[in-house]
Amino acid sequence: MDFLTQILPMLAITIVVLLVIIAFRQGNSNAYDERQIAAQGKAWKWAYITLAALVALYAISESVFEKSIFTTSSAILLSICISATVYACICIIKDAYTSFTKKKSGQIILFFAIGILNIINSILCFIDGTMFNEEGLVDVGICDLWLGIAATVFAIILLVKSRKTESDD
Amino acid sequence: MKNLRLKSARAALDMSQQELADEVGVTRQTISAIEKGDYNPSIRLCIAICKALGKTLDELFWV
Repeated sequence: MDFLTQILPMLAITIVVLLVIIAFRQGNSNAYDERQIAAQGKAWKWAYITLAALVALYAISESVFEKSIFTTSSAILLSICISATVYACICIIKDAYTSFTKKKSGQIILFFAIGILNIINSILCFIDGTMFNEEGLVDVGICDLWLGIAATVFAIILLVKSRKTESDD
Repeated sequence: MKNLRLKSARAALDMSQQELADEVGVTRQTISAIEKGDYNPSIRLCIAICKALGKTLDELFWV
């Protein structure tokens, strides 16, 4: 188990580094058209509002109930993850996530990989007991679970959308 | 409001949405959204579409 918990983060970091290198090598191939840029702008707006609302909600609930089920760091990180999910959801629904020069299949594989890695990592956290801290509060491991589920759902939505596009053509 | 003039001009040239999209450098979904009236294109994109279809702005986009 320890071996897995050490290997998985290393594997995830390696994948991210490789993706960054590929993205830099591709240069300016991430081309979005004007409708996609407008949709991304609206998605940013809603993601920002979601983040502000979640942080405010956490701050208010902390001060009113003086007890929380999340640690401060996990609450902030989870808020960021949820707002990023809102951004990605809106972009995917409006066909503004992948640039028109990129193939959707690569994006789908990437989302599936991120999803599976994060879900496995969160299951390992749960088994190890690191999902919760000593006081029983939910720790940052919850973000892995959220991102894992979100990335898998994104992959499925992209897959369904690309199949629908193929049948439309 | 649907842009049926754009759709018919494209169909007259036996052009698919994807072909027109590739010609003007946008996604197929953008062309689809313009035809459905869900998206108002910029003047730059309107001109590019007109050039690709051999029509004037008045013929395709004047309401």
